[in-house]
Formats: sequence, C-alpha cells, structure tokens
Amino acid sequence: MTDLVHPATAVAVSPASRNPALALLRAVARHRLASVGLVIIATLIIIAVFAPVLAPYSPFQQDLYHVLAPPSRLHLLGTDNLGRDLLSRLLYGARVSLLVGIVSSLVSAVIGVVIGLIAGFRGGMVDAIIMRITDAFLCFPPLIFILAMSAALGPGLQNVILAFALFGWTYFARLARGQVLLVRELPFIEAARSVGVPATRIMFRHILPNIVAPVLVAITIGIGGAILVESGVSFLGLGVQPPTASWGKELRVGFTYLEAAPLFSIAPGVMISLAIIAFNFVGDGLRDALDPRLRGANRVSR
Amino acid sequence: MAKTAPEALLSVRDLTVEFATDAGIITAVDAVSFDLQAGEILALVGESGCGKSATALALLRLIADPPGRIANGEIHFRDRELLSADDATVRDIRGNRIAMIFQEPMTSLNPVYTIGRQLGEPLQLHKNLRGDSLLAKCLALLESVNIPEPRRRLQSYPHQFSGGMRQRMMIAMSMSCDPDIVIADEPTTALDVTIQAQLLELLQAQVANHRAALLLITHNLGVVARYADRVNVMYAGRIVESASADEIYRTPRHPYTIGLLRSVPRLDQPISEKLLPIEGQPPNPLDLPSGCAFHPRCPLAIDKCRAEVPALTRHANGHAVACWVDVRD
Repeated sequence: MTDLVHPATAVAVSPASRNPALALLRAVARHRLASVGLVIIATLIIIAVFAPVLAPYSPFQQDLYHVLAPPSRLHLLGTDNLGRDLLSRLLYGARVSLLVGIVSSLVSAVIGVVIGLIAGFRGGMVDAIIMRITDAFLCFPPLIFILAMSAALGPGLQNVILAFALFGWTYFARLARGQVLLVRELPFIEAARSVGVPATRIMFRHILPNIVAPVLVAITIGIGGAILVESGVSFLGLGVQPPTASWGKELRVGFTYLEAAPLFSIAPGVMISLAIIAFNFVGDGLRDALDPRLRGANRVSR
Repeated sequence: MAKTAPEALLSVRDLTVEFATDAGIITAVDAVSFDLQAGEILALVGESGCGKSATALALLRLIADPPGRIANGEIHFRDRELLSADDATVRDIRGNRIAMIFQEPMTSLNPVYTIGRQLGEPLQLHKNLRGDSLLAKCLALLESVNIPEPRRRLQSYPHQFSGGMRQRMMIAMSMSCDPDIVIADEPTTALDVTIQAQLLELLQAQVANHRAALLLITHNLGVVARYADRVNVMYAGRIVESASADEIYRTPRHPYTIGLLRSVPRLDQPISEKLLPIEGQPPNPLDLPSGCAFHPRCPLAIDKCRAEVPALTRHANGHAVACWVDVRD
C-alpha cells in the first residue's frame, strides 16, 4: 500500500502544512543547490523588473569617445563597441532572456500538456497520431528547428517565443502522456467515473493535478534551455534586433572584440550560465522535493 | 432461467464480459443472470478471479475498454436498459441512483483534493448543490458515518485519514445522493479485522436508512452469513448456486459451495471438525475445463459434468443450482 504513494501525494506529505504549494517551496528551499538557484533567480527577476532603476545609464546611450573601455568607476563592466555601458545593457538584457525563457517554456507546457492529456486519456488512434507527430519533431535537432522557424517567421521577440513553443510542446506532450498513462489506471480515477464525473472533467480536474509535479520540474529546466536557445539564436543574428540588448546578442558582438575587451563577451556569458545553472538547480531541487524516494537521501547528505 | 420478478429493481440477464489478453480472450463473466430486489442485501461470493468484481463493474459500465468488453447481456434498472443507454444516461445513474464502494480506500481517493471536495462531487454533479447547502450536506454525511470533528475533517487530505476513516467517508459518499443500489466491492478486504465488522455494521445501517439495496461482493463467507439476505455463488465466471443466506448455510447444493463451507471454521460446529480445503487450483480462465468448470476439482463429478455445462436450475424456496448431480442423493 504505502509503496504506491504517487508523486503528487509526496508534496502533501511533507511537514504538517495545509498548503501543498507552500510545503513544496519550503522543501525546495531546504535543498542546498536549489536554494542557491532560487536566490539567483530572484536576483535576476529583480534586475529585470528594476532595470531602469538599477542601470547607471540608458542601454542605448552611446559614448563614441569611450569605445570598448575597460572597467572603470564610471563603467563598472566597461563599454561595448559603440561606447554603451555594458552593465546597463546586461541588466536590460535580463528582461529579454527571462521573458523568452519563462514565456516560451510556459506556452510550450500549456500546449504540450493539453495535447498529452488528450493523447494519454483517449488512447487508440488519437494517441497514435499525436505521438507519431511528436516523433517526427524529435528527428530535428532543436536548435536547427528553432533557427529555421525564427528565420521563416522573421526576427523579433514574439517569433523566437513562437518558434520555441512550436518545438517545445512535443516534449511536454510526451511527458504528460506518460504520466497520464500511469495516473488514469489508479483506482481513484475509476472511483471518479463511478460517481458519474464526465470525461473532460476527469481529465482536467482529476488527472491534471496529479501530473503537475513532473511538469513543474520540466518547465523549470525548460526555462534554462529556452534562455540558452534564445542566446544561441541571438548569437547567430536572429531573435531580438539591435539596438535591443540581450545576453546572446552581447556575447555575439563581444566575441568579435575578444582580445581587445575580453569582459565584453565574458560578462554576458557568465549571465547566461548563471541563469541556466540557477534554473537547473531549482529544477533538480523540485524533482527531489517531489520524489519521496530521494527525500531521505537528501536528509543524510545535509 | 428464472423469470424476471416484476418487482426486481435491477435485473441482469446473460451478462457476458470479456477481456482481451496477449494469450487470447478471457471470458471473465459468462452469461450471468440475477435479480436484485429493492432494499435487499445480495452477496456475490467467490474466490479471486471468479468474475465477481467484473460483474460489479459491468453493472455501471465501468469495464475498461480496451482490454475489456461487455460482449452480451441486458441490465434492466427500473425502466431503463443500461447496456444500450447513452453515456449521459449512464453517467446520470452512476453515483446518483447506483453508487459504488471500492476495495481500496487508500487509493480510491484523489490525493490532491480535500475530503470535502471529493465528498461533495456527486452532490455537485447530480443534485446541483453549491456553497452553504453543499457544505451543510457534507457535514451531515460525515456525521452520519461517525467521523468526529466533521468540519475540520472536510479540510483534510486523504493521506491524513486512516483506512477505516476513508472507507467510512466512501460509504458516506455512496449514500450522498440517496441511491437505490449500492455496490460494495470487497469493501473491507483492505482493512484490519477489528474494524471490518464495524464498517459492515455501518454499511448495513446506512443502506437500511436510505432504503437502498446492497450488492455485496466478497470472498468472506462469514460476512455473507451475517449480513446478506440472499447469496449468489460464482465460479469461473458463472453463478453456480443462488439461494437465501440461510439456505446456503443449511442446505448447500452445489459441490463448490459445500467445499467452500467446509474450508472455513464455523462457530456452530465442534472445533474437532476438520477444515477441508478444496482440492486443486481455480481453472485457468484461458483454458476452462469442458462442461462444468468445476468438474476437475469436484469429488462428485460424473461423465455428464465433463461434457455439458449445467444450467442454473430453480428448485423449491427460490434455491437455484447449476449442477448435474443432486447432492442430496
């Protein structure tokens, strides 16, 4: 009996908290790496929100007399090839990276989970067709696909997000379908049917909440992936267009001046890495918090 | 075959349920017919795999399809035939007119919702109750099954309930819409022996209060003796004997029933009486013996048993038995 505990129950089981979301957050915060990740993410979000307040200069303000300047008291991270303050550009760049990361991961998740739910719950032909479509998507390397889509859709922030979602949903669909196949066989689903709950309600009210845990982990890690891909797309010249600042764009331009101003490419690279690592840490922490079998192991390591 | 008694609340005719497996088709329920009268407690008894749970699920069309399939039969409930009814009609009956209590109280509740939310779901669906009237009704239901501090308990999650409490909550939920029939599929198997009796008493009292009929599925003959009005004994997907509970105990007529009764200790017989197991194993459902499925294990089997399937034949006192041999001889 007890070994049948479903991941979803695990959240609720953690110390006497009535609110599963709060209990989950607490469990993640106790995870050492995840708490580091949470702090980094919180900082990045504050930076993105308060960029206009925090940035010493406008990200577009050029100072052609101080091009590629080394770090100084005026420009803490130096300036770029047009004399713009690098720190300010990175602070503003956080907005683009976080926006693309979070929105595209969420959009992919929503589309993917709904499709996966339907595939897993309906089964049969519907399932077979949807899964063959996702298989087809798996044949493409993600970066190439997203690059091609971005190129086809044209540059711009929305199009990067759209391109990402067009690919990302397949991953979430497969994940959700697998989880649905597990959950729909559990007795409480049969019990719900036995009291006359209609199929759609069973899908969204009874199954969906029980598959949220792994989806949450995937969304978090997906955000890191999306930030990386956005940087890659921007690095290759698609994505956001100048003069908008984005980490990938800065890295691209800085790359050209690697020898003259190494910080110009290192600093955005560090930002990208930090963000991705932070989201992955939190994703791992979530996974551990949601997996009752791993929880004991964590306790020992602390 | 018995003629449909006019007052039967539920009458099942030739119900056949099949499951497709890799090895072939299993006929889990084979042309089962029985009636359930309003307000009575009918027990469906048999060992694991004899088709009693499949019968119960089929009554509400809950057989998972695939791999299962209701291949044949009719289920008349009041003026409706359920197997040909549309989904909306069946949904409207489920949990409302015919309620079900499952074997596993630990897993029959959704772990992410509070007890209150789940208890209220049939009332929302079928009685359109919302807000305060829903809350009041849920409180009354929990109180009626003796759950202390019902107001606080409505906010609890299933993992905070013990197995016995969950099953009591399931009983409360099954009663919520004043059903005509409650189907209880081994409701106490997963529980401690000490609270099994408590729960069955509660279930008996509840169905009596709500004037509901109870289809009690069990493998426990002790339970049958104490609570059931009538008994259907199933073996390998068929009903082999049907009689009042008293008759079954005093004058069992099918060799399988006799074997079952000899294999459990009885308070009304001297302790020195030996318990006699039924020889052999339950048949492989993929490869049922010819004729009467019980003949390989039957001490009284004659040649006819190997060749022809005996029909359930009605005798005096509503006692029906499917056997070629008259054990009284």
